[in-house]
Amino acid sequence: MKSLEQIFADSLAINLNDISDALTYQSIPQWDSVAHMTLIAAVEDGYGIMLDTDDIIDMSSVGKAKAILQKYGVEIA
Amino acid sequence: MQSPLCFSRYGITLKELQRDEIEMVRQWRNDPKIAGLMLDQTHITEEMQKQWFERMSQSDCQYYFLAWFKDQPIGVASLINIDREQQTCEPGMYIYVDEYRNNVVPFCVAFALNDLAFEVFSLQTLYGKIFADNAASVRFHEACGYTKYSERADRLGLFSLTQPDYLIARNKISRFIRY
Repeated sequence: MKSLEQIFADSLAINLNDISDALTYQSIPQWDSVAHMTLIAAVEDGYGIMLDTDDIIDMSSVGKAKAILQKYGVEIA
Repeated sequence: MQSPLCFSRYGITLKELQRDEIEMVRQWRNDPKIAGLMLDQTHITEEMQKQWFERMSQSDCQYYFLAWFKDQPIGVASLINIDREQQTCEPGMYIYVDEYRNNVVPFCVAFALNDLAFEVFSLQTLYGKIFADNAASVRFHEACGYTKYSERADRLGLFSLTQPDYLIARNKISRFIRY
């Protein structure tokens, strides 16, 4: 299974080395509405979960994504 | 007096813009983060805004809405140049509240507006104008099903959207809108 960082890198079309917990949406032009929905689809498919829409809206940084995924029982390495 | 048009879908309510809301909208519209996205970047004065609202209120070919989400006004949506004979119009929208600008919420607003145009106004084709260097807007419109049919010399791209293309595009994203 892909790491969460790899999912972010693939979905936002940025280098894996640029992914950190501090990366926030709107901080880079690549993280726009369309990329956000690509990311959500990849996260749901990758972990076999279905996110609440409020969590989809709330997923505004890599760190926040990790916290949200914990609510769904996803263990992030 | 006719009651204001109000349309709710995808967690969004579009309420026809009222006189006591136009100053807030003027301030949003003049904010560089919004003005920078507009084809017309003229600074809007209070007087210009009042005159615009009066003209708009008298017209039956343009409608402006406040977009409400979670009991908060978050942006503006519009249908302008409504041509009932040709069954066409030009939708427009922006989200002002930062936390809702780059996730699923812009799609919620766009889909509510498009549903209103296709289902309530019974329009057949929607048109959009986007400068080629506004990559995010081009991507967003394409994700909503728009296709480019021409580009002017000043690099203004002309896009159109039919209802069948819209429904295909909407269904890919609306599955994530679980309200």
